[in-house]
Amino acid sequence: MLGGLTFFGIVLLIITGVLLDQYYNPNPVAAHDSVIYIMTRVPLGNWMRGLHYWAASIVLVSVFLHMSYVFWRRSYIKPREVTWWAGVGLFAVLFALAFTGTVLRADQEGGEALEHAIAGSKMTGPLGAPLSPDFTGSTSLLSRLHSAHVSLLPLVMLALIGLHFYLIRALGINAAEPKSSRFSDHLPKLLGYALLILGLAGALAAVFPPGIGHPSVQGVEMTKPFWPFLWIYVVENNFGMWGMVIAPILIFGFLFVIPLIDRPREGHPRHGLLTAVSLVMFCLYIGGIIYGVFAPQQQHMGM
Amino acid sequence: MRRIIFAAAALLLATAAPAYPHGGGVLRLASTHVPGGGTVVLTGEKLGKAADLALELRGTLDNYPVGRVRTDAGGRFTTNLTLPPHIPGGAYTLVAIAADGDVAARTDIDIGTASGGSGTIMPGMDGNDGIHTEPHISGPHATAEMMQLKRTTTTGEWAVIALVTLLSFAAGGWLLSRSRRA
Repeated sequence: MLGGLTFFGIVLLIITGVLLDQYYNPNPVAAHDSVIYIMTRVPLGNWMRGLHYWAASIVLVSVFLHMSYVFWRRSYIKPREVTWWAGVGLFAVLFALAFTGTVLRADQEGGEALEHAIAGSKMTGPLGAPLSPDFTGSTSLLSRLHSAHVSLLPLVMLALIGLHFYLIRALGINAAEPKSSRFSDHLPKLLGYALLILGLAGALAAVFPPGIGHPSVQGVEMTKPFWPFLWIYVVENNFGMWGMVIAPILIFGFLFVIPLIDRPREGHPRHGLLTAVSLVMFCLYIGGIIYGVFAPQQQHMGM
Repeated sequence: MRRIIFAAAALLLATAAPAYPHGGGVLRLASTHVPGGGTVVLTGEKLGKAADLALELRGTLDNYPVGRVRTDAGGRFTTNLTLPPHIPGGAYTLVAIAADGDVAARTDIDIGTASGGSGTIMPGMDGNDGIHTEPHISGPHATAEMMQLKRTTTTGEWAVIALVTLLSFAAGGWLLSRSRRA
């Protein structure tokens, strides 16, 4: 169910994203103004942008809950490792979409996110080259991130969703559930929840439309990132810029190796150590986000 | 067969260039980078003969009328265009509007602050990489505050929002109660 809701949220993101992109200008000189244009002059533009923002938040929550539930049920064990990996890949792509979406606003928060990405790209050498402004002189980094946000990343996302769905259909959701369970049996319930989510996102977008900061000023850090990135922000607070590179590698690396560590043995529960490590990771992730909300704002560049 | 005809017709319609009654007009600026309050020579050609045109700067946030011109018998004009001194810097489109309201010609112009420069290109870093600072403020002053924008929602927009939101809640609730009963 949570997976289906995530999918519905993604569909909503695609629809609202396509509409917003008709008015967005990826030129660094005009990007910020074009977002203001959407918010103030496009009919329903402010609400549409709010829907996009809240749908992104809802999708990130639902995909996290979905993965936690799949982990709890051990639905990743052989032969469903690839289904899990496709899900982990999707989670990573959603983060990349959230990051590029933040940068596209071209406000202070977006500018700081971009500066962090550039700093990260310098630290990671050739791997980070695509995020470097020196990658090409023919177009701006903002324009390339826009292209990633609206074409490259959605294509990867749709490919992973296709693979994920195919494997679920071929292998079933879980060893404990019959493979014969038909999708159409779940459809009315799923659609019902999906419509409630649409209503919720619509109401949130109307009552709490997202704002936009002032145009970015370089070399200054005075904002905190979009909430899904607050756990990375907290790591940066304590370990400097390298935390921004290492924390995601640790979390996503751990998610990736779970099916390799937890090999199925008839009648045996999950190894206690894996459960303990997973719980620690879970608490660090959630705790990091909560702490990040209250943590003092800090300068990371040059740490 | 009918499907193929429809598809071909749709393709033809999609690729057909729209016809503009005032298409083909040309505006040329002596410089495309002009400070607010500055003057620039503007020439126009291939326009309507002996036609009155209104000149307007169209920005992302607002439009600014900047004068009127009259073309000669050859559809040309030359004028010294003076920009409003307090216009916010940024990228604008200068349009020449015919008497019937259609845009007869257009050109891009980058307007800087009155003190010179058209804003600073920010992170990313040099050249065209990065994000633009607010050009109409003197010097960069970063703030984490959100902008206070005048976001007005019309009654019609509220009606659409309420309709979509309430219908989603109602239909979702109905589907869930139905699936529970089944």
